[in-house]
Amino acid sequence: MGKSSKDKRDAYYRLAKEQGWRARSAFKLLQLDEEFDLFSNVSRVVDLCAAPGSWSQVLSRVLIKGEKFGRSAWQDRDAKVRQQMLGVFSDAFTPEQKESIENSTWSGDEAAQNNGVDAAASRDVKIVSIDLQPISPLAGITTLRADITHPATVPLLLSALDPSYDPAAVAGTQAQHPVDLVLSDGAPDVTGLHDLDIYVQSQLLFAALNLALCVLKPGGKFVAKIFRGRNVDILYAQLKIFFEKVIVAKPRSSRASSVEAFIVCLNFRPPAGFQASLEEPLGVGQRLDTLVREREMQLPIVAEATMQSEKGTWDCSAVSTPATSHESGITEVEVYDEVEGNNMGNGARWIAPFIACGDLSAFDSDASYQLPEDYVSLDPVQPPIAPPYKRALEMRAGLSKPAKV
Amino acid sequence: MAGEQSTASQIRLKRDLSQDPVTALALHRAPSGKLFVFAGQDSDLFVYEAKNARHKGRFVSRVSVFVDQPIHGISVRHGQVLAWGFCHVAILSVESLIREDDGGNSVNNSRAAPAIARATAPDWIYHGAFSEADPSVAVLATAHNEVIPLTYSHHTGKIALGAVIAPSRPMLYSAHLSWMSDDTVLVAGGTVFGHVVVWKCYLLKGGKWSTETLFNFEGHEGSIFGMDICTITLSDGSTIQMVASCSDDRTIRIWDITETESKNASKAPQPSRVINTGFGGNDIERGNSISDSDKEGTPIAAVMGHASRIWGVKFGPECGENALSVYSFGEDATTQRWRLDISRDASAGEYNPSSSRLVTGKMSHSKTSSLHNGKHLWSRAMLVEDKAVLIATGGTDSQICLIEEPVLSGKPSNSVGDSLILDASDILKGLVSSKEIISRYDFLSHDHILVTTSHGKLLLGYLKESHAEPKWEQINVPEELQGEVKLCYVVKAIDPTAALLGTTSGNVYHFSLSPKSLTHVASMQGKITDMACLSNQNRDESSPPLAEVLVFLHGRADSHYFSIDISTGGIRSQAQTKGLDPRFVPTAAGKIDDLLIIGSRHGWLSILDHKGDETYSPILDIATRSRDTITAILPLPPKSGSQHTSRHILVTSRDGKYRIYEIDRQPERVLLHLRHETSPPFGPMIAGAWFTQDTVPELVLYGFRSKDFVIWNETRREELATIECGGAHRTFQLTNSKSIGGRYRFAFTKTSKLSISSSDQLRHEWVKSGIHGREIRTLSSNGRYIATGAEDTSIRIWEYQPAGDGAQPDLQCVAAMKTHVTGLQKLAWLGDDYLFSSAGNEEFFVWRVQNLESDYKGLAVVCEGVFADKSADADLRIMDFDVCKSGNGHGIIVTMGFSNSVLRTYRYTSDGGRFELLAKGTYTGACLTQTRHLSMRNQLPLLLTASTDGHLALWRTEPDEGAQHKYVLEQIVPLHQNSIKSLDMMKSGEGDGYHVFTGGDDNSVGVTLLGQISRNTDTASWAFLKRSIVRKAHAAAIAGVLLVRRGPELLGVSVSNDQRVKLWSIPSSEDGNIKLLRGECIGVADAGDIAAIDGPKNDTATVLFAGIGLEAWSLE
Repeated sequence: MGKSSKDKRDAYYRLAKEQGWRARSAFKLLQLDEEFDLFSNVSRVVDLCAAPGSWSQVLSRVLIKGEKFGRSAWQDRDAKVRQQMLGVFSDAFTPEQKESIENSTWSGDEAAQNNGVDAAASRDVKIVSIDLQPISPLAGITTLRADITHPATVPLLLSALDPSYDPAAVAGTQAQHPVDLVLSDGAPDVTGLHDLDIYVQSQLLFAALNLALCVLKPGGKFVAKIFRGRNVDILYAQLKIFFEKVIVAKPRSSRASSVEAFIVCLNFRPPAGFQASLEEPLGVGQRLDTLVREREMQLPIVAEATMQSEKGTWDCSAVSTPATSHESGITEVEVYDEVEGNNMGNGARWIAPFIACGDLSAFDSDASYQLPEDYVSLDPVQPPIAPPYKRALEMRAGLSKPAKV
Repeated sequence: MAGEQSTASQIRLKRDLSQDPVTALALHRAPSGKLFVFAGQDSDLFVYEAKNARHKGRFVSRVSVFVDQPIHGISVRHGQVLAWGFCHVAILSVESLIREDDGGNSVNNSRAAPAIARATAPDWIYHGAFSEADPSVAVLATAHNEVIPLTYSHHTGKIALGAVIAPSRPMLYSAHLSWMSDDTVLVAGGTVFGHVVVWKCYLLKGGKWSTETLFNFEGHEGSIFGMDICTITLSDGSTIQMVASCSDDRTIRIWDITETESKNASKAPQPSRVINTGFGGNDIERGNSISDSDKEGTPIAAVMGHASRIWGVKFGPECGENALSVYSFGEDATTQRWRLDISRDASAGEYNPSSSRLVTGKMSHSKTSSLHNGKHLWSRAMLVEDKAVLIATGGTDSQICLIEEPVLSGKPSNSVGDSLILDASDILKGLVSSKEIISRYDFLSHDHILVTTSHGKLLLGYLKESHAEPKWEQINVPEELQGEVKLCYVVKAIDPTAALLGTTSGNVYHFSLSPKSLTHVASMQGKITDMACLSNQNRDESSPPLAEVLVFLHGRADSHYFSIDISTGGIRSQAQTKGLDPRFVPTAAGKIDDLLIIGSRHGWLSILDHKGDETYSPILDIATRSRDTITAILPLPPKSGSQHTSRHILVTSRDGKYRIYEIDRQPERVLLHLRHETSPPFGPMIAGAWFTQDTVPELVLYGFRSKDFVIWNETRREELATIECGGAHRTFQLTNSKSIGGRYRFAFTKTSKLSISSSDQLRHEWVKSGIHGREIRTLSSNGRYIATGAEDTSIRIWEYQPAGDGAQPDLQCVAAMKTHVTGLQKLAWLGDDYLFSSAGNEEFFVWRVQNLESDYKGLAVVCEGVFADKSADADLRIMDFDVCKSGNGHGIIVTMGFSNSVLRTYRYTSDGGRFELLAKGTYTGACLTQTRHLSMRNQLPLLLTASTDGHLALWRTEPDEGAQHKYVLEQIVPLHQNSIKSLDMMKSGEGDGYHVFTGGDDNSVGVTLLGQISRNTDTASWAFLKRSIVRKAHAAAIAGVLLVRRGPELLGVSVSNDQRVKLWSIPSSEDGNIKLLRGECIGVADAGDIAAIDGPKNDTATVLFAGIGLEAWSLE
């Protein structure tokens, strides 16, 4: 796909170039922030698997430079005009939303230029970014090149956060000055073998969580990429041990055709007596599953248990009348209860609530857009990271005739 | 209500057929001599018996080993099967899986379920191996470079796992275990960052253990996906141990892991080295690490293979002195064989224990097998036996292939691959002059080849065995004819005992095998360029006395027809074609009854009828869709029991397509209708075809793909032979068996030398047939046939046969079309004979589907309409569409929803395949994911659409400029939070409303009731009556929903990326609520669509789910 056809196919790719972001994923974080107000009262942040650095770039511009980004950064003004013309969505928006739509409809300039500098930008901001790949320097951000799955990274991170860190101290794996927010946008190069990819992704998530447990302050937030595939409900259940709220969020800048979503964990509150441990990493063994089950034992039973057959399938004939509620004219039906399927082979399950974020006037990452005829396609802010088979491609290209495959 | 509840609760979903990716394989030769293939597909273990020389393995048994977890590895030893997947491990007895107590007639689970011992490890398992000595002991290797000892008690049937053993815990992408002795295991791990770690694990008495790290090799520039270990004895008597690794960086590397004395001496625990976290920084800048030999850890050999990531590597048997075969298995779905030559590095001088540079090697490519569809060979198994090595491969396409290769003794031979290379001087041992070259030739049969030389000699070769040199005999040619043989331009076999020779002097001679003689048949004006044998196509049958041939002349449109006595060469009748356009260059011909069909160099077909004496005159000339040479014309096999010959002819062409035409003989005229047109996955030159003599004839095509000659079974979609011959532009001849697949001889001329490639049987077999090798995105059923459209840009049509009388349920491919160039978005049938397809790049095709009146069971499919009204850049996706017959009976109404939020409605007319724009509209800018017709008003549809913004919208048309109409929104309502990925709707019981069932990216399913406000055709309109939603219906996006009516019940089926299928009861009225009836695990990942076909009984249905894999479930 050529650059210009990608501009049409992928609105966020184009917007990222226009607004100077290193990657389109910057919009995912901005849209998550818009929904969950991730950056409020946040001054210390750890960004994991950060390369090429678009999330760190967001942190740098918002927390250090004090810029503000709102909907206007990703709003499709044509769509808003069309929505108004069609007279649709009138009941889907709150009055404030309407107002903001109207305001931004007439503010013609580039979003970035409208972003005033917030004078109240915190002075004691500390942001540490880690990745395997080098990250080009960003204003005010400490970058580390390390493997987040490796135990040696914990002391590295702790000393980067706190220069007075002493690994020999008693609480050697706990930050003395904990952070407010831990982010991870990491994903492996997928193989196509779904459950292996999900496993490796979960190892990245657990490595990020393990680091978060070491550095996050109570009440802190954790946001990480997940793959919504088989057994993702086991992950949700396990994250719920550590956070009051666990929500799976899909920004509009993330394609509906992708299994990617983001787990937003709010209000960090580790179980009493829980200690993050390098010797006993989270991603292996039954430790988390045991915790989930223990937690469930303590909770009152709120729904009738369903029958379950040997094979782990559900006989639901005993299900009681589902709870229903009405909201914006839609009858909400509850049929999947949280106890269901807990005895299944791979661990206890829970389905986190889903929230699509970035409002309806946002550009649609699945839609194709018409660009003005004189539109000049821009070069990416940063070239993509060289893949491991780069040499193979070069050698192949160097051969006078293509090798037989 | 109570009654309804109980009927609903009796509904069961049962998995009948699964075509899931094959993620694990093992081969097992039973004491009885039978060869069994153990295969993991999703959570089930399948056992097949492989039979050589037969196409398909016999299904033996199936057992569900895990719940909700695919099997990733199988190891068979000591009559026990060790299977693992994720952190789960299971042990079963081989006996329980292959026992034949019920004559093999079992369908799925009718036999007693075998006992399965199960256990759960703390981490992902990459490999497992039973101890050679103790059948109750095994070890497992995990994704963090750990070894877990396993003990299995035959007595209690329980597995006990020991404590985790690890010298260090890097994250691995692959691991391999090899028992060195009763208590020592060699472990090779390939890390995410491209390191090879090799260590030994000593399992001591009382559960104690110790480890010894041997090597940590750096060099790979990407994750390591596969490893293997082997030990080889070199010609100097020394033994070396090697590990092979394959990687994301597209290389295969072989490392020497022979333990030197110094290593053995320092058995003390080594200080833990600081290991780089991440890809070694300096590696990447160091340049070509392969040539960097100063550092410890240089591979013995490294080679770049595959055009993709390499998933697996295995050491094969020795293939000569100090040579070993190595097999690699790639994402590109190929299996490649390499030859690894090992030598002692002389420059290293005397035995130097501190260096690993003692051994060097060279890897060279020897063969590529491309037997799978699409991408990924996920599993492989190897069995080395005395005479042959067996390699089984399993892929995303759900196929299992078994390759059998002779163990090469290493003796020199004059065979190159499977070809025997001959040239004239070899043949006659100096009897002919060195300048004499082979001219023309043809096979009389599998045993005889007739050859002419440039000096006018006529030679008969007797081919006894496939790889032995033929015995040659020079045929005594009368002196006056030697000059004629020199001028021979065509040798054409007309029977196993006879051939015709055509010369540039215009003479035809007859050669007969007994007596071996050459006689003159006929003379004509002009140079003979080719001859087509019109009858006696079936050379295996007892020969009829007569052969019909058509002789083509250089520069003439008109040809000569002869009917010749096969044994004597006497002419029984003759005729000439007359009246063809002078520009017509005949290249191929066929005959049906008394009609001649001739094809030309420029793609024309002419039908000629016998007019009076000795002339055939054209009664129809058509330009086919090919502008290229017609290479063969043959009739389809007649329908058994029918008195008539087939009305259909198959035509192959150099444009890469083959076509089937129906000859429509009307009283006054003859018409030729195109019924089928496809390109097989080779080409562009298709050279010919034949039908097998099976009860249900199969179509076999042959031709060229770049430098290879390919024989392809179109019916089974299997490549029977691939012969490297240098390309299409050469003289070649093929003889084949119509009853034994894979038996052929292929002769070709390359650099003036004659080469003959022979095979008596297939060198590979398909133990299990498969499906698309990429994600299936869309499914559509017309009740009988199922069409699938996949990411591989191809469409296939299948016939599903439910289980019956001891037969397994089966899915047979009846047509395959690859015309789209982007991944499919949507397929829909209209009635039984129209199929519509849409994809990216605004591709939209109309397919006409028909049955052929023939024993050949392939469906006839022809692309009748191609949508051409595209946007300037033609780069939009047609996400969805709906089709219906036009109200006034004129054409078909098609409404498309585009990725740029645009709706367009066309009238399609089959006459000329025209699309006439009727109406268009634009949504908010959001991508439209679903488009449906609700009813017609003023000849235009009222629409329901859904989009990525989670809203449902109703549309009607209003007049716009000219005759066109525009769509205006009637009503719009939110339902899902974001993309509505799937939608099905069904008329409600009374017929004045629709139930709309939707599945979203937001894990929800929605039920919406649509009501008709007015039934008057002029004012008809629809409204949303009720919307309800189940927010946590699944744990992931729902890409497939389906509504099925069973009696009074309306049922909903949903399938999600969480690999669950859920069955819902859909309320019949506004008062009720959707209820969950059942939930099941499914092996189809990335599910894209659902479709239903009617069951044999009224209250049953088969529901198909497709994505990565395809499963059929019965709803009972």
